[in-house]
Amino acid sequence: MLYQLSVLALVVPLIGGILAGFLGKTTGKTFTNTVTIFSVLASFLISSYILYTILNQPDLIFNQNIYRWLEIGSYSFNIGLLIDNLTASMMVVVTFISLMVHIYSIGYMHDDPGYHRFFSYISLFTFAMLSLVMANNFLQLFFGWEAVGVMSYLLIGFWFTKESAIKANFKAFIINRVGDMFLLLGIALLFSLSGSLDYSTVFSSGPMINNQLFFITENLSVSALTLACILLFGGAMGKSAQMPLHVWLPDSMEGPTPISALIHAATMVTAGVFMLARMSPLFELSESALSFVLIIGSITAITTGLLGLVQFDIKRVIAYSTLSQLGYMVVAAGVSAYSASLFHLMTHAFFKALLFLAAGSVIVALHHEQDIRNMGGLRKRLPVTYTTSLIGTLALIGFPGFSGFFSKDALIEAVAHSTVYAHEFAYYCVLIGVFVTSLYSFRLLFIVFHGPLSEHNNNVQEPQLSIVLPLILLSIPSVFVAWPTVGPMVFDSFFSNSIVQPTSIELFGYEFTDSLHFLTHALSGPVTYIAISGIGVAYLFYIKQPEIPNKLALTFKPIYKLLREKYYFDYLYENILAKFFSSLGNSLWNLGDIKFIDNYIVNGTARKIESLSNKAQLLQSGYIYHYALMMMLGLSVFLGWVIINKIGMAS
Amino acid sequence: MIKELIFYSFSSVLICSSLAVVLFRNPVYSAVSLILSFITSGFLWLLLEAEFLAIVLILVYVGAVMVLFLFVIMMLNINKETEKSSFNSVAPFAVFIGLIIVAELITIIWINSSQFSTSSTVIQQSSQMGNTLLLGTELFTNYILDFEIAGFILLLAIIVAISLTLRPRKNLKTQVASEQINVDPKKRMKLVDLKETK
Amino acid sequence: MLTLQSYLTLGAIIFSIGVIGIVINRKNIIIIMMCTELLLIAVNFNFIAFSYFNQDLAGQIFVFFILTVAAAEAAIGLAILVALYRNKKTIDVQELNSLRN
Repeated sequence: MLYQLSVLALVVPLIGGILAGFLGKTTGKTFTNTVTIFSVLASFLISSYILYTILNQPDLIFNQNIYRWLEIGSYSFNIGLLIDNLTASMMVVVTFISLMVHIYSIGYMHDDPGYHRFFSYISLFTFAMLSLVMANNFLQLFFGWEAVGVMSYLLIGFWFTKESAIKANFKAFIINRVGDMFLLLGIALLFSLSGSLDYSTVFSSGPMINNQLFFITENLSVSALTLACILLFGGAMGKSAQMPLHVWLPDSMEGPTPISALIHAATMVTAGVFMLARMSPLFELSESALSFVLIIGSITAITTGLLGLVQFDIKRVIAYSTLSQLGYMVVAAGVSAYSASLFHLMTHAFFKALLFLAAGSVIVALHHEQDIRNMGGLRKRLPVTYTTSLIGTLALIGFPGFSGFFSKDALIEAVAHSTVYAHEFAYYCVLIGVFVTSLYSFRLLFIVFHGPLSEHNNNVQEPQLSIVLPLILLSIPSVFVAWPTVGPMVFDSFFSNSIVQPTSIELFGYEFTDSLHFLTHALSGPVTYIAISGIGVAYLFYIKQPEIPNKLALTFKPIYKLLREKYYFDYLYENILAKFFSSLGNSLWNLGDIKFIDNYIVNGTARKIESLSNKAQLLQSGYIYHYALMMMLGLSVFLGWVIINKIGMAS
Repeated sequence: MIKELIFYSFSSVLICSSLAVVLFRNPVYSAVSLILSFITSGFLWLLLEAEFLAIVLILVYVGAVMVLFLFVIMMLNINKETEKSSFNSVAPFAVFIGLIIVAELITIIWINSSQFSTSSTVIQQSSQMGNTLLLGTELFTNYILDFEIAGFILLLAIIVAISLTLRPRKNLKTQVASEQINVDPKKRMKLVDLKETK
Repeated sequence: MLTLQSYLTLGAIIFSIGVIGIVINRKNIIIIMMCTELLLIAVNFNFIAFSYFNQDLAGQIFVFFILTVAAAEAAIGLAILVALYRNKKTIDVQELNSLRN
């Protein structure tokens, strides 16, 4: 029963996407959105039922191969499903956010000529993410990974007539390719050492792999498992946009807003964090890999948050906040608190989807205006959007009582109690990160919704129901979802059958009793006060004395410039790496391909034959006596041969 | 002794006339030299007791083929002498190779001479049976099929020569027998139904 | 003393003259045809000489057929020549090079 249901949950969005894609143009908008929304709704309901079943039957792990895809020698590659608590909860989150985005898109994309295309893409995106989440082997993980990449490429470049969108989707694809290369190498390394792609086989041979040394040079060696973990994390860095490979995410804002919500909240970027949690049996064996993860995560958390302070595009601010929050999740994985990481992933999915959709609502209301300098005082005009944005922002900064509070607090608690190398650095990073988060979040909120209402925004109205409804639906879990779930998911053994991690006492140094107690316990820590001080500073800067930020920008001009230029990452990639590689490629192309292969081998052969035949043609004079002369020559040679033969026989 | 005398004198005439065939600029002179070559070789064949073939050579070649040659030369009116040299650019090389071929052929002949039966052992054939009779007997018994084929080849040559050179004259009024035979009387006449005029 | 070698040598000389004649002349194709006749005569000489010295009539039979075929060949060749002259207005070997290209 579970088997059929889970296959159904996986396949239904695929069918919906295909139907919408192929029939959408002829059958109209109503058919398109009905078929996709119902398919995703069905998938969501089934996922919920699966989660419910699993909750009622602890220790139930459903791991089955559906069919054998390929068999080479003793290796077999299967397509299979692995349903456990991790998968089930991810499925619910993914399908719920996807459902919200679908409903939202009815209104948001209403006048777009690519309406059916859009719905087809987001349904397929959901399918891709589900297949990634439900995989029971690396092969299927990689399929989902790449499918998600392809769909994100298509969706970021959805408005393909816009040049910036094309550049952005190209960038996202290329940067993801770098990460995917690492992932593929990691999978290959694990496969070569364990001889299988199944999670269970690979995990059980983890200690064996850990003992194998991988020689980089004669004297420098590293544990093969550490190397594999770092390579896998390289893949996660691409998808989850960690520091050196984060540049695609802000640019992906070129896509329609629902897509931003889907990519940032539920599907694409969480894939890396999900994989880290899924690979926990391997990562737990290698402390070096965990430290690497921790350092990358904490750098991402703090630096990208700072970038959010200087952006003026409403969606880009939220994008940088996503980057920062992803850094938090990776940090949590780095200190082995996978459950906290996943919990933050879940709460973040809700409130970040909420924030994006709210931003989209503002954008729709202002007729596709995205620059926050042209906004202000929208509070009265867009009450629902304002309220839901406020809820999302409070949840994001971790205001006590909101879902983000629980997840972030548990996460920081875990960092504080960690003993992994570089945990102190990570701790200060995340604490400063909390301040920065609340600063940029409220900066956005204050600039957009408070202050004077500008003239041309006087007639702004709340958008239609299909846009507002998902906001309301999403704000409910943004506030409350953590209350009942924080205990079992973070502190209890909810994930114990899918994730390997230390016990909660070890991890958090805190005995959980109930959510309220956790709340009061957390208030004794510094996190909440830092967040509130961030609100205060934001209030001071952007409501009371709006001239301060400009003064600061002028005073610390180099730093401001550094932030505006996004640490020169784009500059570095574009002008140094890309130039180097394109010149390398060009020179290889010119030298190897054109000069050697084309010119010498391919055309050279033809030219040689042509010149030879031109020479041979000179023999053909067309005069009879020339041919006769040749016959004479042949005759004399033949006779000479006869004579020599004769003399040879005689002697 | 008389035989040697005849042989050497006729063969030197033969060689000279053959050279003349090649060297004369005027093709008519060449043709006449060729006739001389045929006649001298006919004499030499008589020396080898091939009387019939010698006669045939003179009759057929000199009487028919060479006349044909001369006829064509006259008809095409190409007997005028060309001003340019009658030898082409490869001539020296060709002569050189020709001399090599002669040398090689003679070498081969003399190398193999040990295998030849010497002329002293030649049995004189019966004078009762003439050469023509012997040849005829052979031809019409053992070589009858070959003889027929040769005749057929000659017939073929006649047809080919005619068909190659035949130029049908234009505007020639001829009868086509097959068309005349295949005439359909119904197509000869067309019956037209004429309406009665009032 | 007349031996087989004498006749064969004579045949070889005539043959070579014929061969050289084919190549060196630059006048017209009729000369080439005459040289072909010379070649045939040379070959016939060999046949008849062998026939006489081996006392075998087969050689003469061969010569008979060669003469027949040569006559046919001469007739056809001259017919071709006439047709050629009609089309090209020349039988000069220097100008007949349409085999080229």
